[in-house]
Amino acid sequence: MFDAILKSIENFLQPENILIMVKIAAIVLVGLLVVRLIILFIKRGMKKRFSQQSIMIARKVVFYTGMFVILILVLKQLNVKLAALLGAAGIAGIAIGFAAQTSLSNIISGFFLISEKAFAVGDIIKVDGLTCIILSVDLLSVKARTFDNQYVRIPNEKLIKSEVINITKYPIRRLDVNLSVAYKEDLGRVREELLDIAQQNPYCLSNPEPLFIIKEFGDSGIEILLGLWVVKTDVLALKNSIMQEIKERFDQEGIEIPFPHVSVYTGSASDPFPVHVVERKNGKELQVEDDHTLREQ
Amino acid sequence: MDTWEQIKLERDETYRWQIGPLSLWAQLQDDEYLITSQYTDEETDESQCGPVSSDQVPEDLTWSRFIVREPSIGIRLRPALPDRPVVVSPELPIKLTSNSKAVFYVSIPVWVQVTTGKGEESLLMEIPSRVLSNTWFGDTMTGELCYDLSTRARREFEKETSIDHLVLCPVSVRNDGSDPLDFQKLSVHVENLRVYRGKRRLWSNEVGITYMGGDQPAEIHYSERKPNFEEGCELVNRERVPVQRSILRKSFGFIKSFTVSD
Repeated sequence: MFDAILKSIENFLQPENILIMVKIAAIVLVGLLVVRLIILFIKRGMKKRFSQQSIMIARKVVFYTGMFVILILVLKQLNVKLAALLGAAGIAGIAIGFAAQTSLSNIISGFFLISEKAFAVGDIIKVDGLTCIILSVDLLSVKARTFDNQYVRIPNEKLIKSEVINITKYPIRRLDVNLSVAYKEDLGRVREELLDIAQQNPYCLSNPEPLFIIKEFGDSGIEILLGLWVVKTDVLALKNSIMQEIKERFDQEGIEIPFPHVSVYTGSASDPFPVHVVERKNGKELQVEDDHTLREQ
Repeated sequence: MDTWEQIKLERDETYRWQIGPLSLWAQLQDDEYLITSQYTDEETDESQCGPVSSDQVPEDLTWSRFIVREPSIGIRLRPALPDRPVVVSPELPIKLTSNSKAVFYVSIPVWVQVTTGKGEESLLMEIPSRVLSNTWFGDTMTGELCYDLSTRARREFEKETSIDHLVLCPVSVRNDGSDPLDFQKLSVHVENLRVYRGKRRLWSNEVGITYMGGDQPAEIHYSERKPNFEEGCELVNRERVPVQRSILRKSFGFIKSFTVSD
């Protein structure tokens, strides 16, 4: 058997076969070099005028096309009949099609995602409760990174079917602060204080103007919505600073933010509920008087 | 003493400038400058400067340190315009009829550039003489981040007043559209303007904004000439971003309503 192997290697290493192998190696090396150079020119040429996503797509198109051309040239060197190969590919295609339905669906979904431009590399999206930053939009899936630095792979098909919120599509956002104030508070004064806080906060934009809406008369207090516009990169900074500033100002001005509470009445609006404080001593219930003495009931 | 001239500090000497509400202190220690600042309520039309004792500097300030090659040359403050466009409203609602023109004067707080060196100066730091609030010019989907000026665009300026911490920017507005121009806000791209110094005031070169009608971007023209509102104006600072003489940009803000969604 060893002799047989040696003989077949000897037969293979004929001058004409070595020449073919050298040609194939040259095609592969030169081909890869050319593809890399084209990709480099694309990156440099497109950097100023095109988005990261467009550059990435262009790179992938050039890469896959280049690999396909190299493959064809290699097969030609090996005297593989391409017509027969295509014929076989047709039959194989049907079989692969059934087996690769999901992958094909992901590929087609990927094309639609790219053409719709619903989001791009660098955007922050929210899908199915997951908030992440897009790293790349690939053939089968979108790669992303969560804020706690986890790597996420989302199939394109899922994105096409789901509701995707692009948080950073537009340059500014409105930050909604929901708060409630006690019923006894003067709403005009509350409005003035809140708008003054907004005006003094360096992250809050003066245009569009902050929004002050009295939402409803809630169970424990009057519900208010304060909508503040901010540049998308400053959302977190505004949220942290404004909540603190509102609390400090309300404390300073004596404006009450009520806890959830329920008022209990006896049936008459004016009479208080009679309350007696009692203490158990020696098996008897004794009422505690105002002067803290105990009286038997 | 002149606020904008070069000052040579002695070692361990503290120097103070008051420019509008901005108080700036500088000290020289060995080969480094220490600079700090604070915004105060005291404000005068004309800036003040002079040496002070180091115990007059408030204690809770944070100092920035700059190591320089030739500390003996001294430092100079340069007036500059803000690094972003400013949005200003006319002092009274105004309607500019078709084919008419009006000149407005916009007072813009200076940005103070602290520089050192001879010939080609190096910038140590830059700080606004007044903190301006941010505003958005455009709609919620497109637009640009600007500064909101609390001052108004006026039709006249006080000729005899000397104010050296505000740059007066003449803005000429022309209506080439067929309808009257009724605008509430005006965006001026000050980063494309130069700063000139006259005997009484700081000036920028003149900006011409031509309204073409509807929602079309306005044509903006930047004058290459020195402002002629005061004699002897000299260039003290070039534009941050050089532009062509004439460009198209959205410059006018009209009443917009933003829909509220729950």
